[in-house]
Amino acid sequence: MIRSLPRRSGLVARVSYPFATRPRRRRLLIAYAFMLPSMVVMAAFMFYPLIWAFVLSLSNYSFFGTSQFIGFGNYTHLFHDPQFWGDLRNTIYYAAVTTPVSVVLALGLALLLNRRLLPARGVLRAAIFLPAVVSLAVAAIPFRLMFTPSIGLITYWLAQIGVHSTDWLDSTTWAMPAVIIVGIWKSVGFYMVIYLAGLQTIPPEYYEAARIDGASAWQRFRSVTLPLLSNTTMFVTIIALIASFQAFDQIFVMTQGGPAFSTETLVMLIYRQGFQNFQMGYASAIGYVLVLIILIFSLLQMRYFNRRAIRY
Amino acid sequence: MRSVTEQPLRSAISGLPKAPPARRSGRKVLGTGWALAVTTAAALIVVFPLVWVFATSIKPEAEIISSRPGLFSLSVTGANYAAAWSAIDFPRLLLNTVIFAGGVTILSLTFDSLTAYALARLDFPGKNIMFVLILITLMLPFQVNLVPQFLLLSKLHWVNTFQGLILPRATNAFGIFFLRQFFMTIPKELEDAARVDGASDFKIYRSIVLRMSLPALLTLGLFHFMYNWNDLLWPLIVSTNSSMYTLSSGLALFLGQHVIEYGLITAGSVLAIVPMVVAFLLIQRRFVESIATSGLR
Amino acid sequence: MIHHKKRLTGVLLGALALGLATACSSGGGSAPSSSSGSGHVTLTYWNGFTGPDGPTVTRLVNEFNKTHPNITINMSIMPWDVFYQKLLPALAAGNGPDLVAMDSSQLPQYAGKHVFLPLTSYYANPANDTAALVPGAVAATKAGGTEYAVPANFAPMMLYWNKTLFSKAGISGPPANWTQWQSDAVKLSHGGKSPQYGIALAENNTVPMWPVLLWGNGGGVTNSATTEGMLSDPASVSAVSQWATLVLKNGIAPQNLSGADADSLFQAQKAAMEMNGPWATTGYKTAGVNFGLAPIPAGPAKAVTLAAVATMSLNAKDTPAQVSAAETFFTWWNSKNSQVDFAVHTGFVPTRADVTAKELAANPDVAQFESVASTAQPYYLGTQYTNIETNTWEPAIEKILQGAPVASTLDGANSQINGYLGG
Repeated sequence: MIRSLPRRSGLVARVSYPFATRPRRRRLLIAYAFMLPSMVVMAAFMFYPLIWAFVLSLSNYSFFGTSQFIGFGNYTHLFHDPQFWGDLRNTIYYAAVTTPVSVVLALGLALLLNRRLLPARGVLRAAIFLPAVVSLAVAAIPFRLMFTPSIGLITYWLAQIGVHSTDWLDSTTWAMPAVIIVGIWKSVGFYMVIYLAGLQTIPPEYYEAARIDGASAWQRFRSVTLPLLSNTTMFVTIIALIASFQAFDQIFVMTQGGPAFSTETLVMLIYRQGFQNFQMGYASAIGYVLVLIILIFSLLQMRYFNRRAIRY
Repeated sequence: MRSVTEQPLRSAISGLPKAPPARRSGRKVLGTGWALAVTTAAALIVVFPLVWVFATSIKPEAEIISSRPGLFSLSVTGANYAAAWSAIDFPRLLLNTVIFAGGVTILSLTFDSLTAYALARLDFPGKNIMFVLILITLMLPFQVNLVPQFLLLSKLHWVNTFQGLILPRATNAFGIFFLRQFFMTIPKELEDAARVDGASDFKIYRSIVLRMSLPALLTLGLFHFMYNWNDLLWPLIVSTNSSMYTLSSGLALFLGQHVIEYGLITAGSVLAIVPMVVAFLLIQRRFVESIATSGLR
Repeated sequence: MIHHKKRLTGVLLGALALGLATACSSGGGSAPSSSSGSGHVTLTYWNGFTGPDGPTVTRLVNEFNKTHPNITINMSIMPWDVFYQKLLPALAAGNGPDLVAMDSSQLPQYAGKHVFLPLTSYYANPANDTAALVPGAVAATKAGGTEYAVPANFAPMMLYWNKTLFSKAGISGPPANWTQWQSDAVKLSHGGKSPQYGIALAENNTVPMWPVLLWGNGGGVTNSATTEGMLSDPASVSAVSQWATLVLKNGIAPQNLSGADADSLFQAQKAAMEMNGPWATTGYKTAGVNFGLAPIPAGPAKAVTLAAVATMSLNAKDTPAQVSAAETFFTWWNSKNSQVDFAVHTGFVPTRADVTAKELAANPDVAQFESVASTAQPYYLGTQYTNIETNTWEPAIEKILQGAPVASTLDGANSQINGYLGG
């Protein structure tokens, strides 16, 4: 059985012998030379806003007039705000469904579409990838119509054969599943393409070797594919998690967080408090709490994948 | 089999006895047929809303939301396309979009791959902290970032300029993360061999790592291009003059406060999507070719 | 070793070059808002007039620029949500637009932050012909009693009714009062395979419809001075009660409905009535809906309708030259010629009260909407608009339409509103 495979994933990349022997300052210099262009851009347009937003979260900044430092006032207010907790629940609900479903579907489709013998692979891949290419504002239009049975297409035909459905987007129970479906729809193709790139780095000789050893398709998947994909999987799950915690576009267009805030996520709350209510300091505090939550989940995931990584 | 792990990977593989070619057994065909059915079904479901978009774009406005809903109508018209083309200055917006998306893609691929290489292969103090810091930039919601970014652009007088549009996007954590993961899968033995030969880090980066990462680079390039091609909000924030708008932003003008111009926006969207689909299909094919040629000697 | 050094310097030089290049290339076309010595004034104008109105507004602004050679208005149209996300940081950075148009309900929040110029002197000057403006439109420009804007467009709502569906149900004409209205709505609703609704009554993401029902019965969300909430008033409770019961028990409208879905319902002829503004006429006509327009039926307390008003305001930081140029634009925009042109092409009602039906003959729908202009009032909630509307009123009515008890829900909402207004 193929047990020993090169280590793929992990937060810490073990270094090769020659580089490590160079003096520490030299290593630092070379590394930073490589990272310089990115760092310049990031410093200005990402780190600076990150810090600025944190400073903002410690104040009652509201775009106009003077803003005062209020320490952790925003954060304490946040913890007592039922709106925050409700939206946090919604956000976790959304993320807990969207992330695993998108990732598993993406992997499944990637496996199916990686087979050499499958005809029209390119077209099928393009079709499934297509939602990622369309802007959500446009895609939301047909989805609205589909989810509103009184005028919808599918439901019209369904009604003709006697099947009734409720107004998804106007129901506090069904609005969230509706936006979840749109979220999954949009991202499955995207993650699938990432998995395809990862699958194509697995040398077919490994499969051959496994086949020679007498492994079944499922065993080949578990012992060759999955471990060699663990790097990609870690990447996809973290990206999917981060993206799902920041769900905004389709919710904004389809339900605006309603009905009765049942689909409002934390990012929508940030938008509402920041740009409609002018409370940018408070909105930044919510943003930072979100960062903290996402960070914790991401680190947990990285630990998980690190531990299960194949080692020499 | 145990001796395999003690040798550099690739040379070991080439030493394996060639397995007999896979015969097109009955089971294989059945497996393929089943896979085809499933993927086709998935594709149809996924594509359905977009079929609606296309069908609407060729429908006369009167029939788009009517009492008898139907996907396609008997009367096909190109009026929506003509109107969309002239309502927004399509050629100009197309040019802006190409410059924006193309500029970001090129810069991003360069910067991201340089940084990713450092994070993946060069050991230096503070590496892991740096990586986590970069990752954190992905976690802050755009709305919170927006205000300081806009203020910075104002101060630099970069509002309504191409550099203001492109440079803030010239690198991003997603690309760095993606390429880092990919670079870490490239066998170390190749790099070690090169180092023994005296190659500099940059040479290794350029000749080995980049060359072996072609599928990943193509994929990431496609993602960057497509994400920025579609981006609606950022170009609208940065530009104050409609001559600087990109395609998606221009299309947003068809979404009125009270009235949605269905025919116009669907026709405009189809026009905007077509280049992306073509790009994808082309990249698609290059993938397979690049694997075949670069790959396993 | 030499390789490393070369590589290092190469990268550093590259970064330096990049930095220099970007620092040197100055922006092309960054928003100018200055007046040059020759007396030429440039004004940047941001608004959200997307959709079918956009081309007409653009054409009119271009015409103004042509006929006023020493004033140039650079207009930037963007979707409303983008507009608000840009306006705030821009104003905070001190380089916001010189001229801004926004929905009148948002105006008080901005006025309260002193970012807009009070326009009392503009209104006081008889040469500006402000006496000819529709009172409802002028009311919408006020925040705390002072005018902070000039009307940009004015759109009262009327009752759209589907003539075909009415005659099928045996009703001869549109309702004239609440009794008829309610019974008609019930008669026109049926479930079954192809449900039909009496009225497309929307309560979220819409031009306000429920408040009109409150007003008709003598109630309201807040009192007109916006000093306290009115949701607990018997008149408000009764209005909500009556109509919510009709929705929940008789199914006259879907339980929860957004503005966009309400429009689609009416357009697809699945709803027989809808309260809507003049912008919808073109779409419905193109879709072949045989509709008529009627004033919104008078409630027990009064005949009233709502006016959606967009208003134009001036940046408090504008120079005197810019202010006077902008005022020229205001007067021109609200002049009879411009308003007739605008009304005929967009369907909005002129902001002036002195336009006759004959002058609007090219677009007869406009004349009909004009006939209700005198009973139209704007939806005004003062500086706490977002807190009252989005945080309190909308969720309350949504909950009621999901079956929550009317009186207690309204009571809860009312105390919340008083909290916002009092504090």
